[in-house]
Amino acid sequence: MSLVVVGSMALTAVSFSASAGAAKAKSPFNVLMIVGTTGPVAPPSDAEIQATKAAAEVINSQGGILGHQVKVQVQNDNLDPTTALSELQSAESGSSKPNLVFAGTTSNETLAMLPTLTRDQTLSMELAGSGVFDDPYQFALPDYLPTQAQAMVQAIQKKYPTAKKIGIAITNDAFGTALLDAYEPAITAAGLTYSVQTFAPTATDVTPELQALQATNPDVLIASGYGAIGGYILQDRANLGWTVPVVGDGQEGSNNLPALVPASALVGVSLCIQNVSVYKPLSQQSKAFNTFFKATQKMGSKFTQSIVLYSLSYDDLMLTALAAKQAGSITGPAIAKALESLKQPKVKPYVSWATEGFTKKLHVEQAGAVDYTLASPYTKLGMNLPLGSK
Amino acid sequence: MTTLWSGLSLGAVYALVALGYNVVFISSGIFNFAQASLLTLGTFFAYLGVVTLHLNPVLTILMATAGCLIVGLIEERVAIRPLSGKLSRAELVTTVGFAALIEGTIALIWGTVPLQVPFFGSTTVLTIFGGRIIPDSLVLIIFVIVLALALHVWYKYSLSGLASIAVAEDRVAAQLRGINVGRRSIVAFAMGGAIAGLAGILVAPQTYAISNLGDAIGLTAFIAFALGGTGSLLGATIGGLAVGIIEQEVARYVGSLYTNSILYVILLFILLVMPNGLFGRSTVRAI
Repeated sequence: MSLVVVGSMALTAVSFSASAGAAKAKSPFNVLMIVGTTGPVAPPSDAEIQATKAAAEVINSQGGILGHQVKVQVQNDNLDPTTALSELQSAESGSSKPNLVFAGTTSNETLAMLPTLTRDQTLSMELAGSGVFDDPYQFALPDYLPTQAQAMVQAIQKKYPTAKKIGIAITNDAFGTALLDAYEPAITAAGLTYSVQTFAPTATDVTPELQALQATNPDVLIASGYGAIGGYILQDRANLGWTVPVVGDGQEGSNNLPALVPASALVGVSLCIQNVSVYKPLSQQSKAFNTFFKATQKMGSKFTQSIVLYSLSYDDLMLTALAAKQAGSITGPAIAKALESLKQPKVKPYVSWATEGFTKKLHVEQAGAVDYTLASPYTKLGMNLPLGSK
Repeated sequence: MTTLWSGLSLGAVYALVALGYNVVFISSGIFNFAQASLLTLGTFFAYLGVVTLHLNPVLTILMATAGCLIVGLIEERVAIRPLSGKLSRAELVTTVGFAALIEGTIALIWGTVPLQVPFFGSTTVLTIFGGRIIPDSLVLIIFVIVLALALHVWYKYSLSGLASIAVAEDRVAAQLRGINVGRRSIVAFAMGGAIAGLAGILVAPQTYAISNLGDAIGLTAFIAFALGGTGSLLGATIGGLAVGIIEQEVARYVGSLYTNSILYVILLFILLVMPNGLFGRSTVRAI
């Protein structure tokens, strides 16, 4: 073999080992999840952690984020904002500064961490609904409430075209109040009228509130309550013998309604939910969904929670990876800028919404009516069956 | 009329907790903040019996009663007896702590997701005097009234009941008369637990078995207790039912945002006019 060929081969081998060495030397892309892993929110937090680790696994199998392997770390903040902030500050001052933070399970923790995240220009994804949409480095994939409300009203008008008046039975906590603030203008803009009754999320009987709504003769009832209250709304409606059709929103749909109320209380009840939440066999799902589902199963998930909890967390990381690739950088400011003007790839790696992305003004997903559908309250593998199924 | 039935049904739950508060208070002079949590435990025993173990209603009631009675005894032993004889009123704190312990244990074993407990009888809605009510709620209302009457008769006419009242009126004098005041306290906490367990199978179908039920009803049941008059079992029952009716009628005709405010205004008014509540007694002492 000639000296030139041998020399070229040697040089090539050296350059490969140098680049391999350089690849080995690339620091990990650190993802820090500061969430409540104990107490009442442990099950949804577990769902979010499994899905995030699944996304990390998928990304790493494809070479990581710009060659940086994704490493997911979880810190339990016990839903305490002070603990959440301490964990964040400890991580920010440590040797493995996070590149991406999943900031809290509830908005209280998110809001406590935001100033530090902004100061340190650390990218963060929000799992709760803090209501902050213009922080430079924070983004949220759960739908912007006004677009969610518009989608709900459009779904109702499509299913019940003769409906003129909508009744709303909703909790009077912070999230319920924010939802109501979104429903009212959406209903009015659609040329419909509405009546409202609110109640405490800890109420154990909402019969009088439903009676008050019944007296206003709505054509459709929007039900919104998370936990036991979601069941009381449907149970007390059935006890009143009120047969008004019910459309539950995302909050109502987060409950396992067939486990809370008998079948007789679910007659005439549908849920307005994201398309991703509607059950289809894997053979009918997209390639991206299959990848997401199987990767999350591999993390030990049995999909005991609503599929949306998994898909949004999975998408948070997939979107971050996509933005980093488009920015050519893994720094917080660069990824944030890319997220604001994301170029949609031909093959989308995310699953929750038809199109995902943000604007400079609003760092929250703005889905549309195309992303929602009416479905059955009955579920399979964390997803709701198509309307009319049991 | 449906709103009235709804109020009576909700009020029956408050009355049960207020009865428990009174039973313990009468015999020991202690306000047991854990009573609502004991009722919560009763609902989970009902779930365990009916749904998990598929027991018949009688066995479920026996299991729930015995289980909550035992927990009541444990509470007396660990949260009350060590403070006996000390004038610190620390029982107010220890019973709150025991309540948290009960709820935490429930959450650990059964989780925090609400659990449906079917009623053992018919579920067909009844129409009575023009109002709709489910059979479970009707049975619960009747049960609370019968329980209050039974307890009232026991305290008034049985030797054991009279001894309990004597302890409440004057602990030292009762001791001097040979009444075992320590045992009275144990019996009181056991009875408080038993009441909670007995009612669990009736309350659970209405409220679900849910770990934070005690937080939702404990404070309102205290209003019923104060309104009815401390130490009065019939007062606690009437107070509970009245609070339930007021709450539901206000929610129906005024708005649910105003229920708590109106309840507290009514309580304030009653206590200003009748400091011992509607049926409480004041003791006149000769000096």
